[in-house]
Amino acid sequence: MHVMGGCLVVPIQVELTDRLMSQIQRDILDNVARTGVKGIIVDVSGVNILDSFLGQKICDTARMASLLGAPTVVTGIKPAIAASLIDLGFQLKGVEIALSVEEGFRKLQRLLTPEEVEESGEEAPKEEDVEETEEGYGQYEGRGKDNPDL
Amino acid sequence: MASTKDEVRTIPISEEIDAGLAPSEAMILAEAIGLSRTKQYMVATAVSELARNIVNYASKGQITLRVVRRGSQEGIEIVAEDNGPGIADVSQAMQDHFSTSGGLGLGLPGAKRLMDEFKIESKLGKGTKVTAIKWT
Repeated sequence: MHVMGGCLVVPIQVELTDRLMSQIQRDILDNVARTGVKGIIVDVSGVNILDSFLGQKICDTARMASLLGAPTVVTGIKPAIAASLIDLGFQLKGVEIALSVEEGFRKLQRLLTPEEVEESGEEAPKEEDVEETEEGYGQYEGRGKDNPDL
Repeated sequence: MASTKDEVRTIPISEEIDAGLAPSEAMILAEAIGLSRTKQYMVATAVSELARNIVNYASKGQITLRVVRRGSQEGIEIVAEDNGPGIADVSQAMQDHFSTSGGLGLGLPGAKRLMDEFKIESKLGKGTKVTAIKWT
């Protein structure tokens, strides 16, 4: 994992095991706390098997990182994995999705820009955060329409 | 590839590392019989969920993978079995988000949706056997 443009990029290019996923979770949170990155991109394009447990671990990690102030975008989910997740009945709650790492960067930029403009108080930005997430989700649905193959 | 297709593979499931092996083996076999890419992932995901159930509820068990035929059609059969505590209420266990292990409760119903055929037999104190097939 490396920091690029103020964001932590976590490429996962091997098959995920529970142990590895726990390690990745620790590394991400350590990194965010230490470097204060503004966002995280977890690229799972090298992952073939994403079951409900591993999916949940990714969501948990994203939620923990968001408590540290860094939103997460998951990129590179293979269409076949998306189909399996749907059949499983699993929802990636609390994370943003983008097709590629590049798209992920763009999404993070959109998520981060309004936040920087409206920095006031302690509770208020939190509420803004929620609204931004919903906005982001809408954008994701829009993108889905552009890619009927998914 | 012919030898791959004729083989019956039994994979002992006892810990995380074994749980990871079974889905990969299923993916290889699914590819060998010509299941579509999407179906290959579905089979592998179902195996992963079933392997997790074995580890979570029975500590150990096994998963057997083999090629089955129906006329000219081929399919992959998964048999996941353990000698664990068994399931008290199977219909409850087949409901989404029902779990007695603190998990998401998507394992069994999810695996059923991922596969074409799904059968579950369970006896309290004896164990559980899940048989599932995905056809090409």
